[in-house]
Amino acid sequence: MNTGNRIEPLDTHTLIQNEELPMNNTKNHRNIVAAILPHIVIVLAAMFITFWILDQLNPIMNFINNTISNLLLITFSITALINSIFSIAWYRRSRR
Amino acid sequence: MKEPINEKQEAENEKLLPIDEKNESIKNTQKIQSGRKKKHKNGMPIPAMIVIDVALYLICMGSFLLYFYVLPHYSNNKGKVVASTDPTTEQFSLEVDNQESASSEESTTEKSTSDSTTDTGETTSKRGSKGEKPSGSGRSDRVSRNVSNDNTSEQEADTSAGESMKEVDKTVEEIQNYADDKAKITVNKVTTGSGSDTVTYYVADVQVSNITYLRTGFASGEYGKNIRESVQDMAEEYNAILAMSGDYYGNTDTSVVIRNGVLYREDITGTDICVLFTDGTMKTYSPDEFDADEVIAAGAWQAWNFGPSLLDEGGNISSSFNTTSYLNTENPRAAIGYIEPGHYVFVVVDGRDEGYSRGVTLSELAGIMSSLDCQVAYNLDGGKSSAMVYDGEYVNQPADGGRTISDIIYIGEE
Repeated sequence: MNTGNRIEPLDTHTLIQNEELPMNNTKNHRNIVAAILPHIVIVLAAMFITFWILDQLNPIMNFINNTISNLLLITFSITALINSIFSIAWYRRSRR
Repeated sequence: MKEPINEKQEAENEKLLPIDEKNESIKNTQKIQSGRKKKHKNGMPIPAMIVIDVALYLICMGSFLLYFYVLPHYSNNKGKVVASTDPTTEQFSLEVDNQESASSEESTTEKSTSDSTTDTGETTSKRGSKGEKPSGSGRSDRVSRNVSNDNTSEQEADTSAGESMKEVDKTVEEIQNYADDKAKITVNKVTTGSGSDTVTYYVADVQVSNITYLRTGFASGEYGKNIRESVQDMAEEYNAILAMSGDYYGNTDTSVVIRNGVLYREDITGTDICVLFTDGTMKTYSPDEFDADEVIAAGAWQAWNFGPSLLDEGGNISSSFNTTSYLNTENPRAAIGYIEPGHYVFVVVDGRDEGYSRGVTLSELAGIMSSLDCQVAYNLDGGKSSAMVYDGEYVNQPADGGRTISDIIYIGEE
Protein backbone atom coordinates (compact mmCIF):
# COMPACT_ATOMS: atom_id res chain seq x y z
CA MET A 1 0.00 0.00 0.00
CA ASN A 2 1.37 3.31 -1.12
CA THR A 3 0.73 5.97 1.40
CA GLY A 4 3.21 8.46 -0.02
CA ASN A 5 2.21 10.14 -3.24
CA ARG A 6 -1.36 10.95 -3.93
CA ILE A 7 -2.75 9.19 -6.95
CA GLU A 8 -5.13 11.24 -8.99
CA PRO A 9 -7.18 10.09 -11.95
CA LEU A 10 -5.86 11.44 -15.23
CA ASP A 11 -7.60 14.60 -16.43
CA THR A 12 -9.22 13.84 -19.82
CA HIS A 13 -9.46 17.49 -20.69
CA THR A 14 -5.76 17.95 -20.03
CA LEU A 15 -4.90 14.96 -22.12
CA ILE A 16 -6.98 16.22 -25.04
CA GLN A 17 -5.43 19.64 -24.77
CA ASN A 18 -1.99 18.12 -24.79
CA GLU A 19 -3.04 16.00 -27.78
CA GLU A 20 -2.18 12.83 -25.97
CA LEU A 21 -5.53 11.11 -26.25
CA PRO A 22 -6.40 9.35 -29.50
CA MET A 23 -7.92 11.89 -31.91
CA ASN A 24 -11.59 12.55 -31.69
CA ASN A 25 -13.93 12.67 -34.72
CA THR A 26 -13.71 16.42 -35.28
CA LYS A 27 -9.98 16.32 -35.52
CA ASN A 28 -10.17 13.30 -37.80
CA HIS A 29 -12.39 15.18 -40.25
CA ARG A 30 -10.20 18.23 -40.06
CA ASN A 31 -7.11 16.22 -40.85
CA ILE A 32 -8.77 14.47 -43.77
CA VAL A 33 -9.81 17.81 -45.23
CA ALA A 34 -6.35 19.22 -44.66
CA ALA A 35 -4.87 16.24 -46.49
CA ILE A 36 -7.21 16.45 -49.49
CA LEU A 37 -7.26 20.22 -50.02
CA PRO A 38 -3.72 20.59 -51.36
CA HIS A 39 -4.45 17.98 -53.99
CA ILE A 40 -7.60 19.80 -55.08
CA VAL A 41 -5.58 22.99 -55.33
CA ILE A 42 -2.91 21.22 -57.38
CA VAL A 43 -5.44 19.76 -59.82
CA LEU A 44 -7.31 23.05 -60.27
CA ALA A 45 -4.09 25.00 -60.67
CA ALA A 46 -2.90 22.58 -63.34
CA MET A 47 -6.23 22.91 -65.12
CA PHE A 48 -6.01 26.68 -65.20
CA ILE A 49 -2.46 26.63 -66.44
CA THR A 50 -3.71 24.38 -69.25
CA PHE A 51 -6.61 26.74 -69.95
CA TRP A 52 -4.25 29.68 -70.12
CA ILE A 53 -1.94 27.93 -72.58
CA LEU A 54 -4.85 26.84 -74.78
CA ASP A 55 -6.32 30.33 -74.63
CA GLN A 56 -3.05 31.79 -75.87
CA LEU A 57 -3.17 29.45 -78.85
CA ASN A 58 -6.83 29.82 -79.68
CA PRO A 59 -8.76 32.56 -77.88
CA ILE A 60 -11.77 31.95 -80.05
CA MET A 61 -12.57 28.81 -78.10
CA ASN A 62 -12.81 30.84 -74.93
CA PHE A 63 -11.24 28.44 -72.47
CA ILE A 64 -10.96 30.96 -69.68
CA ASN A 65 -13.95 33.23 -69.72
CA ASN A 66 -16.80 30.72 -69.86
CA THR A 67 -19.35 29.66 -67.26
CA ILE A 68 -17.65 26.42 -66.23
CA SER A 69 -14.20 27.98 -66.02
CA ASN A 70 -15.59 30.74 -63.85
CA LEU A 71 -17.12 28.14 -61.53
CA LEU A 72 -13.83 26.27 -61.36
CA LEU A 73 -12.04 29.52 -60.64
CA ILE A 74 -14.18 30.31 -57.62
CA THR A 75 -13.74 26.74 -56.38
CA PHE A 76 -10.01 27.09 -56.85
CA SER A 77 -9.97 30.36 -54.94
CA ILE A 78 -11.94 29.00 -52.00
CA THR A 79 -9.91 25.81 -51.68
CA ALA A 80 -6.67 27.75 -51.95
CA LEU A 81 -7.89 30.11 -49.25
CA ILE A 82 -8.87 27.30 -46.87
CA ASN A 83 -5.69 25.43 -47.62
CA SER A 84 -3.62 28.51 -46.83
CA ILE A 85 -5.44 29.00 -43.53
CA PHE A 86 -4.72 25.41 -42.61
CA SER A 87 -1.08 25.83 -43.55
CA ILE A 88 -0.70 28.95 -41.48
CA ALA A 89 -2.40 27.35 -38.49
CA TRP A 90 -0.22 24.24 -38.71
CA TYR A 91 2.91 26.34 -39.08
CA ARG A 92 2.09 28.45 -36.07
CA ARG A 93 1.24 25.39 -33.99
CA SER A 94 4.44 23.67 -34.95
CA ARG A 95 6.44 26.67 -33.82
CA ARG A 96 5.02 26.61 -30.30
CA MET B 1 14.78 -17.30 -7.99
CA LYS B 2 12.48 -14.48 -8.52
CA GLU B 3 8.99 -15.22 -9.62
CA PRO B 4 7.91 -13.49 -12.89
CA ILE B 5 5.72 -10.53 -12.18
CA ASN B 6 2.35 -11.25 -13.70
CA GLU B 7 0.32 -8.64 -15.57
CA LYS B 8 -2.20 -8.23 -12.83
CA GLN B 9 0.45 -7.42 -10.32
CA GLU B 10 2.07 -5.03 -12.82
CA ALA B 11 -1.18 -3.15 -13.26
CA GLU B 12 -1.62 -2.90 -9.56
CA ASN B 13 1.88 -1.62 -9.19
CA GLU B 14 1.23 1.00 -11.86
CA LYS B 15 -1.78 2.23 -9.97
CA LEU B 16 0.38 2.84 -6.98
CA LEU B 17 2.90 4.90 -8.94
CA PRO B 18 3.14 8.58 -8.16
CA ILE B 19 1.16 10.84 -10.57
CA ASP B 20 4.24 12.20 -12.34
CA GLU B 21 5.63 8.78 -13.11
CA LYS B 22 2.23 7.57 -14.18
CA ASN B 23 1.75 10.44 -16.58
CA GLU B 24 5.22 9.85 -17.91
CA SER B 25 4.39 6.21 -18.48
CA ILE B 26 1.23 7.10 -20.35
CA LYS B 27 3.08 9.68 -22.41
CA ASN B 28 5.66 7.10 -23.41
CA THR B 29 2.95 4.63 -24.37
CA GLN B 30 1.15 7.26 -26.38
CA LYS B 31 4.34 8.26 -28.14
CA ILE B 32 5.06 4.69 -29.13
CA GLN B 33 1.50 4.25 -30.38
CA SER B 34 1.44 7.59 -32.24
CA GLY B 35 4.81 6.78 -33.73
CA ARG B 36 3.34 3.61 -35.16
CA LYS B 37 0.29 5.55 -36.38
CA LYS B 38 2.45 8.24 -37.96
CA LYS B 39 4.27 5.57 -39.89
CA HIS B 40 0.93 4.48 -41.33
CA LYS B 41 -0.22 8.12 -41.92
CA ASN B 42 2.84 8.93 -43.98
CA GLY B 43 2.55 5.55 -45.69
CA MET B 44 1.68 6.71 -49.26
CA PRO B 45 4.90 7.25 -51.16
CA ILE B 46 5.36 10.48 -53.07
CA PRO B 47 5.39 8.92 -56.55
CA ALA B 48 2.00 7.36 -55.81
CA MET B 49 0.66 10.76 -54.74
CA ILE B 50 1.97 12.32 -57.95
CA VAL B 51 0.37 9.62 -60.06
CA ILE B 52 -2.97 10.09 -58.30
CA ASP B 53 -2.83 13.87 -58.77
CA VAL B 54 -1.99 13.51 -62.45
CA ALA B 55 -4.80 11.01 -62.90
CA LEU B 56 -7.24 13.34 -61.17
CA TYR B 57 -6.08 16.21 -63.36
CA LEU B 58 -6.56 14.17 -66.53
CA ILE B 59 -10.00 13.04 -65.43
CA CYS B 60 -11.09 16.60 -64.60
CA MET B 61 -9.66 18.08 -67.81
CA GLY B 62 -11.16 15.29 -69.86
CA SER B 63 -14.56 15.79 -68.25
CA PHE B 64 -14.40 19.53 -68.83
CA LEU B 65 -13.41 19.19 -72.47
CA LEU B 66 -16.01 16.52 -73.06
CA TYR B 67 -18.82 18.54 -71.53
CA PHE B 68 -17.82 21.91 -72.88
CA TYR B 69 -16.57 21.10 -76.36
CA VAL B 70 -17.97 17.75 -77.38
CA LEU B 71 -21.39 17.05 -75.97
CA PRO B 72 -24.11 18.94 -77.83
CA HIS B 73 -26.10 21.45 -75.81
CA TYR B 74 -29.42 22.13 -77.41
CA SER B 75 -30.77 25.49 -76.41
CA ASN B 76 -34.35 26.53 -75.73
CA ASN B 77 -33.41 29.95 -77.04
CA LYS B 78 -35.53 30.47 -80.14
CA GLY B 79 -34.14 33.97 -80.60
CA LYS B 80 -35.83 37.29 -81.00
CA VAL B 81 -36.76 38.64 -84.41
CA VAL B 82 -34.96 41.94 -84.84
CA ALA B 83 -35.14 42.47 -88.58
CA SER B 84 -37.33 41.38 -91.40
CA THR B 85 -37.70 42.23 -95.02
CA ASP B 86 -40.14 41.37 -97.75
CA PRO B 87 -38.61 38.53 -99.74
CA THR B 88 -40.79 39.23 -102.74
CA THR B 89 -39.46 42.70 -103.49
CA GLU B 90 -36.52 43.23 -105.80
CA GLN B 91 -34.05 45.18 -103.70
CA PHE B 92 -31.13 44.89 -106.08
CA SER B 93 -30.81 44.34 -109.78
CA LEU B 94 -28.79 41.44 -110.95
CA GLU B 95 -25.89 42.42 -113.17
CA VAL B 96 -25.77 40.94 -116.65
CA ASP B 97 -22.30 40.16 -117.98
CA ASN B 98 -21.20 42.44 -120.79
CA GLN B 99 -18.82 39.84 -122.15
CA GLU B 100 -19.67 36.26 -122.94
CA SER B 101 -19.26 34.17 -119.89
CA ALA B 102 -16.47 31.64 -120.13
CA SER B 103 -17.33 28.07 -120.87
CA SER B 104 -17.06 25.75 -117.97
CA GLU B 105 -13.59 24.52 -118.93
CA GLU B 106 -12.08 27.70 -120.24
CA SER B 107 -9.05 29.02 -118.43
CA THR B 108 -7.73 32.52 -118.52
CA THR B 109 -4.56 33.87 -117.16
CA GLU B 110 -4.85 37.27 -115.64
CA LYS B 111 -2.19 39.63 -114.45
CA SER B 112 -4.54 41.70 -112.40
CA THR B 113 -7.52 40.47 -110.58
CA SER B 114 -10.15 42.86 -111.82
CA ASP B 115 -13.34 41.14 -112.68
CA SER B 116 -14.18 41.42 -116.33
CA THR B 117 -17.85 42.05 -115.74
CA THR B 118 -19.05 45.57 -116.26
CA ASP B 119 -22.39 47.29 -115.96
CA THR B 120 -24.52 47.23 -119.04
CA GLY B 121 -26.77 50.05 -118.20
CA GLU B 122 -29.23 47.96 -116.34
CA THR B 123 -28.31 49.56 -113.09
CA THR B 124 -31.24 51.02 -111.31
CA SER B 125 -31.55 53.63 -108.69
CA LYS B 126 -31.80 50.91 -106.08
CA ARG B 127 -28.23 49.93 -106.58
CA GLY B 128 -25.14 51.75 -105.50
CA SER B 129 -22.26 52.06 -107.88
CA LYS B 130 -19.19 50.00 -107.44
CA GLY B 131 -16.83 51.47 -104.97
CA GLU B 132 -19.49 53.25 -103.01
CA LYS B 133 -18.88 52.86 -99.35
CA PRO B 134 -21.53 51.14 -97.36
CA SER B 135 -23.83 53.24 -95.30
CA GLY B 136 -22.35 54.15 -91.98
CA SER B 137 -18.79 55.04 -91.34
CA GLY B 138 -17.33 51.72 -92.30
CA ARG B 139 -14.53 50.34 -90.28
CA SER B 140 -12.66 52.95 -88.41
CA ASP B 141 -8.90 53.02 -88.34
CA ARG B 142 -7.38 50.69 -85.87
CA VAL B 143 -6.04 52.08 -82.69
CA SER B 144 -4.19 50.06 -80.17
CA ARG B 145 -6.39 49.02 -77.33
CA ASN B 146 -6.50 46.63 -74.48
CA VAL B 147 -9.10 43.96 -74.88
CA SER B 148 -9.57 42.47 -71.49
CA ASN B 149 -11.59 39.43 -72.33
CA ASP B 150 -9.29 37.59 -74.69
CA ASN B 151 -5.79 37.36 -75.98
CA THR B 152 -6.12 38.89 -79.41
CA SER B 153 -3.94 41.81 -80.16
CA GLU B 154 -3.03 43.96 -83.10
CA GLN B 155 -0.95 41.76 -85.35
CA GLU B 156 1.00 43.75 -87.87
CA ALA B 157 -0.02 42.89 -91.39
CA ASP B 158 2.53 41.89 -93.98
CA THR B 159 1.26 44.31 -96.58
CA SER B 160 3.93 43.35 -99.09
CA ALA B 161 2.75 39.75 -99.01
CA GLY B 162 -0.80 40.97 -99.39
CA GLU B 163 0.09 43.20 -102.32
CA SER B 164 2.01 40.45 -104.04
CA MET B 165 -0.99 38.15 -103.73
CA LYS B 166 -2.99 40.91 -105.35
CA GLU B 167 -0.62 41.32 -108.26
CA VAL B 168 0.56 37.78 -108.85
CA ASP B 169 -0.28 35.94 -112.06
CA LYS B 170 -3.42 33.94 -111.66
CA THR B 171 -5.03 31.16 -113.58
CA VAL B 172 -8.79 31.58 -113.42
CA GLU B 173 -11.16 28.81 -114.38
CA GLU B 174 -14.90 29.18 -114.19
CA ILE B 175 -16.33 25.99 -112.76
CA GLN B 176 -19.93 26.83 -111.95
CA ASN B 177 -22.47 29.27 -113.18
CA TYR B 178 -26.01 29.85 -112.00
CA ALA B 179 -28.55 32.50 -112.75
CA ASP B 180 -32.21 33.05 -112.12
CA ASP B 181 -34.31 36.05 -111.22
CA LYS B 182 -33.28 35.82 -107.58
CA ALA B 183 -29.58 35.11 -107.60
CA LYS B 184 -26.61 35.00 -109.89
CA ILE B 185 -23.62 32.93 -108.89
CA THR B 186 -20.33 32.39 -110.63
CA VAL B 187 -17.74 30.12 -109.07
CA ASN B 188 -14.15 30.43 -110.23
CA LYS B 189 -11.16 28.35 -109.35
CA VAL B 190 -8.06 30.51 -109.07
CA THR B 191 -4.53 29.15 -108.96
CA THR B 192 -1.39 31.13 -108.28
CA GLY B 193 2.26 30.25 -107.88
CA SER B 194 3.90 26.94 -108.58
CA GLY B 195 5.45 24.06 -106.76
CA SER B 196 5.39 24.42 -103.01
CA ASP B 197 4.21 28.00 -103.38
CA THR B 198 0.99 27.03 -105.17
CA VAL B 199 -2.16 28.55 -103.78
CA THR B 200 -5.58 27.41 -104.93
CA TYR B 201 -8.70 29.23 -103.95
CA TYR B 202 -12.32 29.42 -105.00
CA VAL B 203 -14.24 32.60 -105.50
CA ALA B 204 -18.01 32.58 -105.59
CA ASP B 205 -19.23 35.86 -107.00
CA VAL B 206 -22.75 36.21 -105.66
CA GLN B 207 -25.45 38.65 -106.59
CA VAL B 208 -28.88 38.54 -105.02
CA SER B 209 -32.00 40.46 -105.84
CA ASN B 210 -33.15 40.40 -102.24
CA ILE B 211 -31.09 40.18 -99.08
CA THR B 212 -33.23 37.32 -97.79
CA TYR B 213 -31.52 35.03 -100.30
CA LEU B 214 -28.23 35.45 -98.46
CA ARG B 215 -29.03 33.27 -95.51
CA THR B 216 -27.37 31.35 -92.71
CA GLY B 217 -28.25 27.97 -91.32
CA PHE B 218 -27.54 26.05 -88.13
CA ALA B 219 -26.38 22.47 -87.95
CA SER B 220 -29.38 20.20 -87.54
CA GLY B 221 -31.53 23.31 -87.75
CA GLU B 222 -30.96 23.94 -84.06
CA TYR B 223 -29.26 26.73 -82.19
CA GLY B 224 -26.93 25.53 -79.46
CA LYS B 225 -23.41 24.59 -78.55
CA ASN B 226 -21.40 21.73 -80.01
CA ILE B 227 -24.10 20.91 -82.54
CA ARG B 228 -22.23 20.07 -85.71
CA GLU B 229 -22.84 18.90 -89.23
CA SER B 230 -20.84 18.95 -92.40
CA VAL B 231 -21.27 21.86 -94.79
CA GLN B 232 -22.54 19.42 -97.39
CA ASP B 233 -25.25 18.04 -95.10
CA MET B 234 -26.36 21.49 -94.04
CA ALA B 235 -26.44 22.67 -97.66
CA GLU B 236 -28.71 19.75 -98.49
CA GLU B 237 -30.91 20.43 -95.49
CA TYR B 238 -31.43 24.04 -96.54
CA ASN B 239 -31.64 23.38 -100.27
CA ALA B 240 -28.74 25.72 -100.77
CA ILE B 241 -27.54 26.54 -104.24
CA LEU B 242 -24.22 27.63 -102.78
CA ALA B 243 -22.99 27.21 -99.21
CA MET B 244 -19.84 28.13 -97.33
CA SER B 245 -18.65 27.49 -93.79
CA GLY B 246 -19.63 30.17 -91.31
CA ASP B 247 -18.08 31.50 -88.13
CA TYR B 248 -18.51 28.30 -86.09
CA TYR B 249 -20.51 30.14 -83.44
CA GLY B 250 -21.28 26.86 -81.66
CA ASN B 251 -17.71 26.47 -80.53
CA THR B 252 -18.10 29.14 -77.92
CA ASP B 253 -20.86 30.60 -75.79
CA THR B 254 -19.97 34.26 -75.98
CA SER B 255 -20.00 35.34 -79.59
CA VAL B 256 -22.72 37.53 -81.07
CA VAL B 257 -25.23 35.57 -83.14
CA ILE B 258 -27.77 37.23 -85.40
CA ARG B 259 -29.07 34.95 -88.11
CA ASN B 260 -31.68 35.73 -90.73
CA GLY B 261 -32.85 38.70 -88.71
CA VAL B 262 -33.13 36.75 -85.45
CA LEU B 263 -31.00 37.68 -82.46
CA TYR B 264 -29.80 34.70 -80.45
CA ARG B 265 -26.94 36.15 -78.51
CA GLU B 266 -25.52 39.63 -77.92
CA ASP B 267 -22.26 38.81 -76.11
CA ILE B 268 -19.11 39.39 -78.07
CA THR B 269 -15.66 37.91 -77.95
CA GLY B 270 -12.58 40.07 -78.30
CA THR B 271 -12.54 39.65 -82.06
CA ASP B 272 -14.02 41.77 -84.83
CA ILE B 273 -17.70 41.53 -85.70
CA CYS B 274 -19.20 41.62 -89.19
CA VAL B 275 -22.78 42.71 -89.72
CA LEU B 276 -24.83 42.39 -92.89
CA PHE B 277 -27.79 44.74 -92.89
CA THR B 278 -31.18 44.36 -94.50
CA ASP B 279 -30.32 47.13 -96.94
CA GLY B 280 -27.58 44.92 -98.31
CA THR B 281 -24.65 46.81 -96.85
CA MET B 282 -21.98 45.19 -94.73
CA LYS B 283 -19.88 46.66 -91.99
CA THR B 284 -17.24 45.39 -89.61
CA TYR B 285 -16.71 46.51 -86.04
CA SER B 286 -13.99 46.13 -83.50
CA PRO B 287 -15.14 44.83 -80.10
CA ASP B 288 -14.91 48.35 -78.69
CA GLU B 289 -17.03 49.84 -81.45
CA PHE B 290 -19.76 47.25 -81.52
CA ASP B 291 -23.09 48.20 -80.04
CA ALA B 292 -25.72 45.51 -80.34
CA ASP B 293 -28.65 47.89 -79.91
CA GLU B 294 -27.30 50.18 -82.57
CA VAL B 295 -26.83 47.48 -85.19
CA ILE B 296 -30.21 45.98 -84.40
CA ALA B 297 -31.81 49.37 -84.83
CA ALA B 298 -30.02 49.72 -88.16
CA GLY B 299 -31.54 46.45 -89.37
CA ALA B 300 -28.97 43.72 -88.75
CA TRP B 301 -29.75 40.73 -90.91
CA GLN B 302 -26.69 38.63 -90.13
CA ALA B 303 -23.86 39.06 -87.61
CA TRP B 304 -20.71 36.99 -87.36
CA ASN B 305 -18.09 37.10 -84.65
CA PHE B 306 -14.89 35.45 -85.79
CA GLY B 307 -12.73 37.90 -87.64
CA PRO B 308 -10.56 39.72 -88.16
CA SER B 309 -11.67 42.34 -90.60
CA LEU B 310 -9.24 42.29 -93.50
CA LEU B 311 -9.58 45.66 -95.21
CA ASP B 312 -9.55 49.25 -94.13
CA GLU B 313 -12.05 51.93 -95.06
CA GLY B 314 -10.58 52.40 -98.48
CA GLY B 315 -10.81 48.72 -99.34
CA ASN B 316 -7.05 48.33 -98.95
CA ILE B 317 -5.24 45.76 -96.92
CA SER B 318 -5.41 46.63 -93.22
CA SER B 319 -2.13 47.58 -91.60
CA SER B 320 -2.87 45.27 -88.69
CA PHE B 321 -5.29 42.52 -87.73
CA ASN B 322 -7.04 41.96 -84.45
CA THR B 323 -6.04 38.34 -83.97
CA THR B 324 -3.42 36.09 -82.42
CA SER B 325 -0.05 35.34 -83.92
CA TYR B 326 -0.99 31.68 -83.85
CA LEU B 327 -3.87 32.28 -86.28
CA ASN B 328 -1.87 34.63 -88.49
CA THR B 329 -0.05 31.81 -90.31
CA GLU B 330 -0.52 29.97 -93.58
CA ASN B 331 -3.76 28.08 -93.37
CA PRO B 332 -6.86 27.19 -95.34
CA ARG B 333 -9.17 30.19 -95.15
CA ALA B 334 -12.73 31.26 -95.67
CA ALA B 335 -13.88 34.83 -96.04
CA ILE B 336 -16.89 36.84 -97.08
CA GLY B 337 -16.53 40.06 -99.02
CA TYR B 338 -18.83 42.95 -99.79
CA ILE B 339 -18.61 44.80 -103.06
CA GLU B 340 -21.87 46.71 -103.06
CA PRO B 341 -25.39 46.14 -101.79
CA GLY B 342 -26.57 42.86 -103.22
CA HIS B 343 -23.13 41.89 -104.49
CA TYR B 344 -20.85 39.72 -102.40
CA VAL B 345 -18.04 37.23 -102.72
CA PHE B 346 -17.45 34.01 -100.87
CA VAL B 347 -13.82 32.96 -100.89
CA VAL B 348 -12.41 29.65 -99.73
CA VAL B 349 -8.67 29.03 -99.87
CA ASP B 350 -7.42 25.49 -99.66
CA GLY B 351 -4.26 24.69 -97.75
CA ARG B 352 -2.02 22.24 -95.93
CA ASP B 353 -1.46 20.44 -99.20
CA GLU B 354 1.90 21.34 -100.65
CA GLY B 355 1.87 21.35 -104.40
CA TYR B 356 -1.88 21.90 -104.56
CA SER B 357 -2.33 24.76 -102.10
CA ARG B 358 -0.15 25.82 -99.20
CA GLY B 359 -2.76 28.06 -97.64
CA VAL B 360 -2.47 31.78 -97.03
CA THR B 361 -1.80 34.18 -94.22
CA LEU B 362 -4.35 36.79 -93.26
CA SER B 363 -2.36 39.41 -95.16
CA GLU B 364 -2.46 37.32 -98.31
CA LEU B 365 -6.16 36.68 -97.80
CA ALA B 366 -6.67 40.42 -97.47
CA GLY B 367 -4.78 40.83 -100.74
CA ILE B 368 -7.10 38.35 -102.42
CA MET B 369 -10.20 40.12 -101.14
CA SER B 370 -8.83 43.50 -102.14
CA SER B 371 -8.10 42.18 -105.62
CA LEU B 372 -11.77 41.23 -105.91
CA ASP B 373 -12.77 44.87 -105.40
CA CYS B 374 -14.20 44.23 -101.98
CA GLN B 375 -14.95 47.24 -99.83
CA VAL B 376 -15.36 45.11 -96.73
CA ALA B 377 -13.85 41.68 -96.16
CA TYR B 378 -14.15 39.50 -93.14
CA ASN B 379 -12.28 36.36 -92.20
CA LEU B 380 -14.35 33.37 -91.13
CA ASP B 381 -13.39 30.10 -89.53
CA GLY B 382 -10.51 28.55 -91.44
CA GLY B 383 -8.44 25.43 -91.25
CA LYS B 384 -10.37 22.23 -91.66
CA SER B 385 -13.63 24.16 -91.35
CA SER B 386 -13.17 25.96 -94.68
CA ALA B 387 -15.52 24.46 -97.20
CA MET B 388 -17.66 25.51 -100.13
CA VAL B 389 -20.47 23.44 -101.56
CA TYR B 390 -22.28 24.07 -104.81
CA ASP B 391 -25.38 22.13 -105.71
CA GLY B 392 -24.63 19.53 -103.06
CA GLU B 393 -21.04 18.86 -104.04
CA TYR B 394 -17.84 20.16 -102.54
CA VAL B 395 -16.17 22.79 -104.66
CA ASN B 396 -12.90 22.89 -102.75
CA GLN B 397 -10.82 20.21 -101.08
CA PRO B 398 -11.22 20.72 -97.30
CA ALA B 399 -8.00 20.10 -95.41
CA ASP B 400 -7.75 16.63 -93.90
CA GLY B 401 -11.23 15.83 -95.14
CA GLY B 402 -12.78 18.82 -93.43
CA ARG B 403 -14.75 18.83 -90.21
CA THR B 404 -18.28 19.20 -89.02
CA ILE B 405 -19.18 22.75 -88.00
CA SER B 406 -22.09 24.58 -86.49
CA ASP B 407 -23.30 26.89 -89.24
CA ILE B 408 -23.16 27.85 -92.88
CA ILE B 409 -23.72 30.90 -95.04
CA TYR B 410 -25.73 30.02 -98.09
CA ILE B 411 -27.65 31.29 -101.06
CA GLY B 412 -31.14 29.94 -101.21
CA GLU B 413 -34.69 30.55 -100.26
CA GLU B 414 -36.22 30.25 -96.83
